[in-house]
Amino acid sequence: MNHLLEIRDLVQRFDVSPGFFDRLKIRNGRLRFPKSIVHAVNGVSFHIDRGEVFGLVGESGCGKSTIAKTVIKLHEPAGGQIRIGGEDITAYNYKQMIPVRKKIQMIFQDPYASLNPRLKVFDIITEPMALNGEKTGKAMMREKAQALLHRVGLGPEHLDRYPHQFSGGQRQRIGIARALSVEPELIIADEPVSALDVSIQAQILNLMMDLKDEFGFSYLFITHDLSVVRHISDRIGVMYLGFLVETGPSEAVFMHPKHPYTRALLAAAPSVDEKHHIEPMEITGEVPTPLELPPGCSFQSRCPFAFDRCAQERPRLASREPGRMEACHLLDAS
Amino acid sequence: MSEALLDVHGLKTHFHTFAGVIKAVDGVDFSVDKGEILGVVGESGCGKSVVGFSIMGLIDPPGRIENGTIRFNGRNLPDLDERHMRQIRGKEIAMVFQDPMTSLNPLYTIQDQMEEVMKLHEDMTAELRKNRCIELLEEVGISRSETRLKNYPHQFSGGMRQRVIIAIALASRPKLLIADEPTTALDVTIQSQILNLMKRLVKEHRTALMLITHDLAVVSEMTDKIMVMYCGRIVEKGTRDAIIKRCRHPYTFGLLGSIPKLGSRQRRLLQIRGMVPNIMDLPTGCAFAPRCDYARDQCRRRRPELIEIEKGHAAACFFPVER
Repeated sequence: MNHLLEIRDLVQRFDVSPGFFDRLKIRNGRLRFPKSIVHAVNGVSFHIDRGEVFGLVGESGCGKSTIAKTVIKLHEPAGGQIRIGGEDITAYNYKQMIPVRKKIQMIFQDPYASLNPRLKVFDIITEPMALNGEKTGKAMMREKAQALLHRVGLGPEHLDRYPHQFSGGQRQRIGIARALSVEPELIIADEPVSALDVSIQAQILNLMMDLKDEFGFSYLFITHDLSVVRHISDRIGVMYLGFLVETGPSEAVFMHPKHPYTRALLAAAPSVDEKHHIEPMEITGEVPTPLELPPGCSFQSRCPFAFDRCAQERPRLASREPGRMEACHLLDAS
Repeated sequence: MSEALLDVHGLKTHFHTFAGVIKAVDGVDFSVDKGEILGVVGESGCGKSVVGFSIMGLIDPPGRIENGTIRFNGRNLPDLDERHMRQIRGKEIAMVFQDPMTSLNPLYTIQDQMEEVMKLHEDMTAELRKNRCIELLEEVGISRSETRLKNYPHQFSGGMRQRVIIAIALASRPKLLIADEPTTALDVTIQSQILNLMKRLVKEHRTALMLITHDLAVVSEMTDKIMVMYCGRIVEKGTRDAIIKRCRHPYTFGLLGSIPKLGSRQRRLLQIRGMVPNIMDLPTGCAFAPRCDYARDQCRRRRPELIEIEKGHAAACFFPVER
């Protein structure tokens, strides 16, 4: 059977070159115009099955949000393949994407920026349906919108209000209702709770899990918060500098992280409960710039276990246990 | 009895806006001893930052400290005039702010900004100042410090800037450091570097630290004492273990339950229903009563006072959670 979403060797680059004259440089006595390219995503592959929650974690700038936007083609991919339910959408144009976007909806990070301030809640929620050409009467639409609001914990009286009349948590509920309106098969949630207070965060996470159980869709859940990703995901992928460094069932990865970066990330995450199973490990330094990728492993500059091979050869994701994959030379050596 | 370094009693800081009085801090008592780390936790709008600003004397109109004493090292800070306050600010009490991107001046070099504190508070020659800057940068883990001194803030990353800010805060060896969400803007691995650094420096210099944050996980790893705030008041305070392991106030209980655990996986999170009430229109009784599962009539009529439950552990609740 086909996976719901499958991406293979996805590459995304952004040209951030300054203007023509700012680029002008003289090298070896000749005029050059070097380009600055941000290598945001460098050959990432993973898949999501129906009813599954896949969590993508990593620090800021690791390319996790870029993947989300590339999957629904808000950015054209620079390389690789995107398949939705077996259908290759990599080369689809805007018009061909419309029916595909009905299957994939998105929930954004900032509930203050993701709702149009000049539209009423009713219009916000029903916009995706209207765009997908659902021709039903206004009364039917209202009924449907009310049912959606009810499902996310808001009342019918909220239909005719504007976004500014709501708190952050309520706005995020409206965003969720909008995503649900076209009955998607996959919801991409890009940091959906990181702008919210702790107590509201728990409400939204519980709501998202309840909805998933009820409607049976899948999530691509993107977050920097390890405890959230552990709570919600079936499988996770850990990203660093545009590379996927480790992937596997969330329970296994959290209990026995293999890649040094995953281990460091887990050790660094603050936690209320004691983390007995995680050995303390602190990594020094900071994430290098994605403008010039190091020739070897992306993590070598911060890795306490780096050896010669890491500087020369880029490790590829390899499976050493069923269901799990890591990209690290260290694991080959041992 | 030895006197605490900082002793805040009955602090009330209100903001008189056109829309009404905002009681941002409404009767808060706590103390910090020398070399102790106190965590101040709460959700946005609970008044935790205003507590920090009140101590620093940084409350501007329409805000005002209405009532209460802030005794620091034997002096009551609200009584001091601006001139005396300036001698304390930056020298005896230093502050680290949340956003490392905006708390440094982009137009001055790191050296200028580090030396400013020393020029104001200490009588040092230029040479001594420079050496001290280098020493401080090395202490916070910035290598090649001599060349780095001539850099401007934009040449540093977020984590590096926060290290510089910590270096500035420690420049005149303060007795109390107030850190307001010092790592919220940083990535996890950088956060843990900065927190470990702060913890080490504070313990080495026997500086007291007030760590203001919304992150209970950070507080539980860093502090000796914790106080939890809700709607301008302390709902529970006590030692770190008392709050994390034996919390009694339903709000603290709910907050702890709201955080997904790293060590084990649970099916559902415990959630607190509803949301924080409008601070201008607080309920008459306990401010948490409308969201509390244990609330009874009494909670809606009268406001519970902070009562000691066990030694060094107090909660403001009529019906503390039994566990």
